Amino acid sequence: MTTLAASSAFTCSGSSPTPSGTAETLLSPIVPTYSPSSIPTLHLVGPGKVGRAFLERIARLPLRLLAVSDSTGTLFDSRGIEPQAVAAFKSRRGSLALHGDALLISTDDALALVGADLIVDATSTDLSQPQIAVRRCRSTLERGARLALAAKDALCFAGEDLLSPRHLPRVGLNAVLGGTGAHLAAELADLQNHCTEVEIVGNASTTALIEEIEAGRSLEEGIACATRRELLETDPTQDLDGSDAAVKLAIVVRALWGFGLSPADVPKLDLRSLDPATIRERRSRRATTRLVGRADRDGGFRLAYEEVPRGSHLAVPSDRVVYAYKTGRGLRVHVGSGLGPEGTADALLADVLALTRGLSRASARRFETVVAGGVA
Amino acid sequence: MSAVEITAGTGLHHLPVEFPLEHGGALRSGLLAFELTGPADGPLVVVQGGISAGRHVTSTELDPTPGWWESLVGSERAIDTDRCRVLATDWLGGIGASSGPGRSAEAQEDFPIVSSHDQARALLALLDDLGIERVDRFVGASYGGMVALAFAALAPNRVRGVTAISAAHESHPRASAWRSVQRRIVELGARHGEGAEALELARGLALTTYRSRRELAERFAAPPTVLEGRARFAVEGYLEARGRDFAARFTPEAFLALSLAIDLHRVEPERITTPVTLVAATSDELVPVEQIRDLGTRLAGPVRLIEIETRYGHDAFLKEDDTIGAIVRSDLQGLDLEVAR
Repeated sequence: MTTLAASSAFTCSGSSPTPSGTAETLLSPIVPTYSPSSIPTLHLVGPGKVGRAFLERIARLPLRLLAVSDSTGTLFDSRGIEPQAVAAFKSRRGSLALHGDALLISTDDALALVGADLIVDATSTDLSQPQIAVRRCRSTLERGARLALAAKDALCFAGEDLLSPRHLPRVGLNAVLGGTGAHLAAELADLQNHCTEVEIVGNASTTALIEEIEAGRSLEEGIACATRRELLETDPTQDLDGSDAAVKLAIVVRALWGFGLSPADVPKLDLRSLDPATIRERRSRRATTRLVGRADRDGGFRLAYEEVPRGSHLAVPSDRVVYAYKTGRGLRVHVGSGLGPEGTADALLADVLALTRGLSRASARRFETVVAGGVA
Repeated sequence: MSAVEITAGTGLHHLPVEFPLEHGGALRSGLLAFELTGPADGPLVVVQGGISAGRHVTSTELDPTPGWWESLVGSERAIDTDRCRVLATDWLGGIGASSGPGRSAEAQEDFPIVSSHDQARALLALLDDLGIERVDRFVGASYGGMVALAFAALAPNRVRGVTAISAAHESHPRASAWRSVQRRIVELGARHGEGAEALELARGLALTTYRSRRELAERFAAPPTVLEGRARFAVEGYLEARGRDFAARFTPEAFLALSLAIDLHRVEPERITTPVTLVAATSDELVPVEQIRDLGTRLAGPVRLIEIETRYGHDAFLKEDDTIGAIVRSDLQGLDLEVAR
């Protein structure tokens, strides 16, 4: 990694440092797509599957994509860069560092350098070093930028701060909670006062596998099938051992009650320990099985594969997730789309649209026009 | 996506992620909220009411608040919950916990057109999920009667009998005319940022179509008062109060969606082979008795047509408890035996 240098070195047209022998210039060069300065600017971190699906979605929106960063480098042009061209390059070559114009600086440095209005963090969740994500989120917010998150690590370990009233209006967590984060954010103050228990079926991958087992397949066959359908991560460990569900439970608990619940506190619960015969027997009684996370405001929590009756709000199909909040008046049920990069990108886009509304009234109007035209 | 609030005893059915709709488009990741009460082995009675009715038909152990048809549904009542399983849903597009404007994946103003056939198909999907092969009786009043007829036309082998009260195979043009004016009032109000007030007005106008000339004449015959140059008629206070009540619990968008759904309702009576009881109120201005007679002559299966003399017009099903109760009770007689067979 090179260190931060003169700004002229960081424009696409400038002579930025490139790794020798690996540089590539795009056949169709990245060109500015927007010029008006009033258009909100965006910096995407993490052009993986989710990030690339997000880039496809913003291609026709009145946003100026200033930069895209992966762990190897950053593409940056203050005039704006073409989202689909970056997505295509990343898909083809794997690393942004291989681009001839890439800046070989750390992501944190790139974020500070670019200074976009809106940061979209579509990196994968890394629970081994959450402090990196937390620091990045805090510095982004302290700079006055807005933040749309798909990665869960920062909220999992510092949600009570990042979702505090001071920051909440500038943080999007829709994608983090399977498309339900916007509802939680909207109702957070009320739920903090009145919610006594939460019930979460937040990991759609396990639901997909349970459905495969219910249909008569073995777990291994189900994993293979779900992987082919891109319903599982390349490494599905966090889905299978319950870590992902525990992370989501921890995020909600921190947001609601400020408890320092860590995913490590939640006992692991491996899907592979479940007896397929039990799953099928429940199905034969018109019930089903779901990985349910529960917590209450007294500090209790648990994660378990539960029998769930048909017709229960928890009996979501595998294309959805559910977050249910018990209050004195009843149950608030938030249903989101759970699976795959496309659904996550949709949720990120919803956050971006919402966060951008506050940036520029004029550009917000343009957004609504474009969205009404069928882009989103 | 969706965000809804439900009470104890409410079930949620997750419709297929793309639920195609009769008039185009699809409902995305829709929810159908329902309540199912009564003995698990009892005959299944589906109960659906007007556009402002919902899943909570009667008080239950889990939710003791009164339901919208408490007088007819409950322990030892016409629809006896000691004997029957009663299933009711919130309307798609309405104000309950089913998908509707402002609570679903669609933007509030983009909620798609949902028809009586779509409501019936959603109910079928719920029955499939619950493992219920057949409805023993579908008792529907007003819009609920329309959906009951749509259900019978759509899936005759999934329902043993229908009781349709104050409902026909299509909306009468005069009723559509009244409702179209109501919708224009609400749309106009919404455009000017006064949707709730417009909804009050529209509901007031609707009330004049729900109740009969006779009832209004009897209740509001007092002469107008003129005070400081403003005339005030006795009926105005009633319309205003009921309009306010309605606007406090309904939304302009849900009203528009369901009002339109009523006017778009079309069923071919000749496709309905299920036994049907039709109940017509002679003073009903919205669904004239002649229209229900016409329906009765065109239905393909056995028909029982009952015309009731009442001052309550279209709302007779909410007021004539004894009469409606006796009709429904007779329709439900013997269901236990049929189920046992």
